[in-house]
Amino acid sequence: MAARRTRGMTGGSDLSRATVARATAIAELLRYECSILLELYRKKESFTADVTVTESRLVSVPPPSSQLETRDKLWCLHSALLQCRSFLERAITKEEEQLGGGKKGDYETQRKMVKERLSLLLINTGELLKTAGGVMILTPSSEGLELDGPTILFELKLWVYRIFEEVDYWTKTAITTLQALPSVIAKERARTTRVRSTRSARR
Amino acid sequence: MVCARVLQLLALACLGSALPARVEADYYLMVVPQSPVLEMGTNFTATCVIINTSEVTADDLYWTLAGTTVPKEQYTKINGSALNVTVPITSEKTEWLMCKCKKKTTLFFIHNEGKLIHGIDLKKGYVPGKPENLSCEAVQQKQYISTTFSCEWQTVGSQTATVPTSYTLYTAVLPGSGQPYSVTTQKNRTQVKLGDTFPHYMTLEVWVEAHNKLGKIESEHLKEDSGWFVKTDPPSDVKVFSEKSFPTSLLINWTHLIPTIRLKLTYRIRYRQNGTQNWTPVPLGDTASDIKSFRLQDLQPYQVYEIQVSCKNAKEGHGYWSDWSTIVTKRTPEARPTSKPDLWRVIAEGDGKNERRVQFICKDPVLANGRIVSFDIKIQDPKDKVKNGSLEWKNIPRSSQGKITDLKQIDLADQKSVRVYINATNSVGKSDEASLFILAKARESELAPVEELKVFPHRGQLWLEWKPPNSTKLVSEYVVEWVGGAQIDWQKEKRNTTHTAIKGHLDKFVCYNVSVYPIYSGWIGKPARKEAYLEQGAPLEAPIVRLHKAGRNQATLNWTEISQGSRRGFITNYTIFYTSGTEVHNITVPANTASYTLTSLSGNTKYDTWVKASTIGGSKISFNHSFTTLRYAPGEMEFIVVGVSLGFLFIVVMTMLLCVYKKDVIKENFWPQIPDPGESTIGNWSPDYPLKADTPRENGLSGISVLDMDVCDGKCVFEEDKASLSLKKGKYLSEEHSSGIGGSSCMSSPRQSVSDSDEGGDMADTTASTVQYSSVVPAPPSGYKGQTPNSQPQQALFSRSESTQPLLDCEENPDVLQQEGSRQSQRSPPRPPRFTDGADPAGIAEQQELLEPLDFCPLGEDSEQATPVDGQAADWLPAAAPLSSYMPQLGGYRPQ
Repeated sequence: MAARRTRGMTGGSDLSRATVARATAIAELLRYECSILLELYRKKESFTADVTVTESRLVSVPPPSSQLETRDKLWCLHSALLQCRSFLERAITKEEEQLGGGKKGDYETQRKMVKERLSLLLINTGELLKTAGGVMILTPSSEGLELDGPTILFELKLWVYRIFEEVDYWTKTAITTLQALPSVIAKERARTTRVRSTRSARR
Repeated sequence: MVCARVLQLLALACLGSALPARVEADYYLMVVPQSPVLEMGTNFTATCVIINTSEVTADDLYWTLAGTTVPKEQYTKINGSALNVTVPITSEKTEWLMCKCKKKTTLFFIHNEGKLIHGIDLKKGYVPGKPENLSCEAVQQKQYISTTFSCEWQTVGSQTATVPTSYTLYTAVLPGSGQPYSVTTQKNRTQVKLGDTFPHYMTLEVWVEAHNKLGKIESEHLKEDSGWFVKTDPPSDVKVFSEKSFPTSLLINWTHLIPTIRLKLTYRIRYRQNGTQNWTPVPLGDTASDIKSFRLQDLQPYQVYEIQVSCKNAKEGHGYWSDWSTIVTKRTPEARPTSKPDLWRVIAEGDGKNERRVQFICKDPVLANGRIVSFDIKIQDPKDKVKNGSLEWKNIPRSSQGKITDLKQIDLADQKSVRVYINATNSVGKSDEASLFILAKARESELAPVEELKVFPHRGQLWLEWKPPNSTKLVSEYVVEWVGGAQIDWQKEKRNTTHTAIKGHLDKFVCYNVSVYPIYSGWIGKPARKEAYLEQGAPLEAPIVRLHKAGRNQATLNWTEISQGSRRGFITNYTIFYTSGTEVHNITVPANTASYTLTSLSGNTKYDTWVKASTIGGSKISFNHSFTTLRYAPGEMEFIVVGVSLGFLFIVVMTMLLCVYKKDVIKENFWPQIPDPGESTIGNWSPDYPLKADTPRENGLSGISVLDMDVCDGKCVFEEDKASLSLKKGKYLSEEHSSGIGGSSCMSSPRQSVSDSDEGGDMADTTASTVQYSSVVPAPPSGYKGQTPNSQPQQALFSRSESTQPLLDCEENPDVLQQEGSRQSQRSPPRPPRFTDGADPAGIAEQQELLEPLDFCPLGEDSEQATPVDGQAADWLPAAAPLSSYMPQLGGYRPQ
């Protein structure tokens, strides 16, 4: 395998396309890993199929509408994923506080993996957002979030389960949104280029 | 340059205030800079500063490097209290650069000698080289890719122990704003942990920084998709299935732990027949997609195949190929044999005359496509074919041992030909027929053999080369047959083959008889044969050497031939070694020699000898055999004996010849002329004494009697004569004449002188006028004894000579005679001193006188001649007288 060594960066359009593809792939992988995490959690907590969580969302960001511009879609997605990570981190902390940490089982490994994969996805959505000209969200907005979580153990477990479900949901949303992005970015970039060239001509 | 000088001065200015109080108190010299790390190949300048004293100036200072004084040419005096030195950094060793003060006799120097020295340790090293060939990989761990990221690189440049180079591996996950993962090592490989999960689909930027005290440098950055570094495990649970309805196909299934969503994989498959070395790869295009099963096709039926699968990241150019999975073996289903069985024959002498014993043998078809269970054979006489076209097939089960089946053995008349047909059967069906013709013996030579057959080993195989037969008939194929020991095997080659290798198993060190048979449309041609070894080694046995025949300077050695099984190669030569203890000689003789004669050996010497049998693969030395050469060569002793004998004989003959031809000289020397008393004209002047009756007979022989007579004999003779004389007195008195010369010294004895012969008497008569001589003639003991009838001892006769010859000198000069006598006595030592036995001195004197003429008495032949006629002396003498040796003397003296 011939090693390709470079210090230069590829062109902007390539980066965008590659970043979208990469973000999509990571989102798909996150969804797969998240499903495993849910499976492991259900197995761990002996949750049967009749155990369901409420329909209401933990994340306070509305799903990105198709009517929104790409930048806004990406902003919504990115914000939602940031809140997901916050919830996930909090859930992990609460679980370790309540149930004891230090375990190195499959569940714990998967949980850690999901959290890190989510972080990688966030890096990519952030890159996309930056490419799309959106405003970077430096810290997740915790306003109105139920980050403290319940104190009753059963409720805590359901809360954790809800968080995992929320991550799974937003991962699916991310996949859908990202899969719709490349063409949009290409079109928008083309439109932007045309506008700029028109303006240049006018000048 | 000026700037550097200014900086140096500034440093020196600061030095005074910067130096610790302790240093100020303890030392008067200070070297700056302290603890420098220097790059190899550069020049280094240090400054020695004098502090806290004015007793010492810069002129008093000098530098040493590693104990050696630095030449003054390298010094630079800055001022009265500072001295620079510049030294090239050429050695990797850490060295001390010392600033010292010259010895002085001042009180200050004596009190502060230990404080007038200061030094710095020069640490040397190299600027780190740029690491090259960085490569990293992330391996599979169960269903994940491990977060342990392993990298290795090639270091460049040198480093020293005092200035080691460290390497820090950096791995950044892109995009991302976090700090790159890093780990530092002294080696050229390390591992770094990339968080809690492998960053699939992210970009990894990897580089290595080499750094030491002299600097740092980064390698080229490796920036690739994380999947580019992945090396997965081979597919697990690889299974192979055979389906009876598809004898040329196998189905492969496998799984992989890595989920496709994590890493898409591509696969490669390879297979080979069991026992072969070369793998056959399945084209990558057939397995490029993400598959989990594959069907191998166009395989051989009933063959065991080995199959392996490998995988890598499906993204083109990404990832490393995994190792191959463990080998899975599977046999393809059976099918009908698709080639003919391999039929051959072995021909030996038959029991009967003009008959051959033909053994038909065969091997399974090359494409047996299953397990051959039996063969069907049919043997047909071509002449019978017309009569009986369809003979019955005979079914023969396949041999359970080995690959060759003995089909049938027949006794075939030399003039007959047969054709044999066989086919092979497996569980699915029968093969096509194979056939072979056995020609009449006389016609075998009609089918020409191959030409210029060569058999030689090459790369572990026996190779054959030949030229096609010089024949108008077309060769359809060749059969290469090889026989080693009791094993026989063969292989068939195509008609255009002119060189091939024996494909069957061959043992090393075994002699194979390799034959190439041209086959003319089923008719077997005349073979060409060669012997060959796959590999030759040293013989297992050595020849046994024995002495066949030994001589004085040569020895013939015989040695045994090494048995065929123990040769393990073609004997190239024998080397004969032999030594007598000091130097070992060797002689090399050809392989077909079994005897050799060593020459130029020393006689009567023990030799050790041994023989070395050599092949191109080694040699074997026999045991020592010792032999001793003979003292004499055969015939040498006989030659010596014969030679000596001949020499002796020659001497004898020569002596005899000398005696014969020089008898006169001998006689003259040994038997000088003695006047013959018989010829004396002296009469018998002593008539009182009777003369011997046979006195006249004595003639020339009287001298002989004198020599052998001893005193006793003489006395006896006197007594005897006294008795006998009375009987013969008459005759002698009348015939003999005394010499009558009383004055002769010889006749001084009062004894009676007796005449020697009758003839002498006669002659005396004729020469009566001549002067008489006396002669003392003692008779020989034997001869004269024989003349007397009794055995009484004879008395010496003293007769007066009547010879006309003049007296001998001795008679006239007794002194001279005496001297001569003594000389003669010296010449003849064996002669006993018989005359010394006399009792009275007068007698001795008389005998002495008698002895003198005795020396000159002729003896030997004359006496021997006289001896036989002793008995007939009287009758024989007249005839014998002329033979006397004294006769010439008589004549010689007569004129006197």
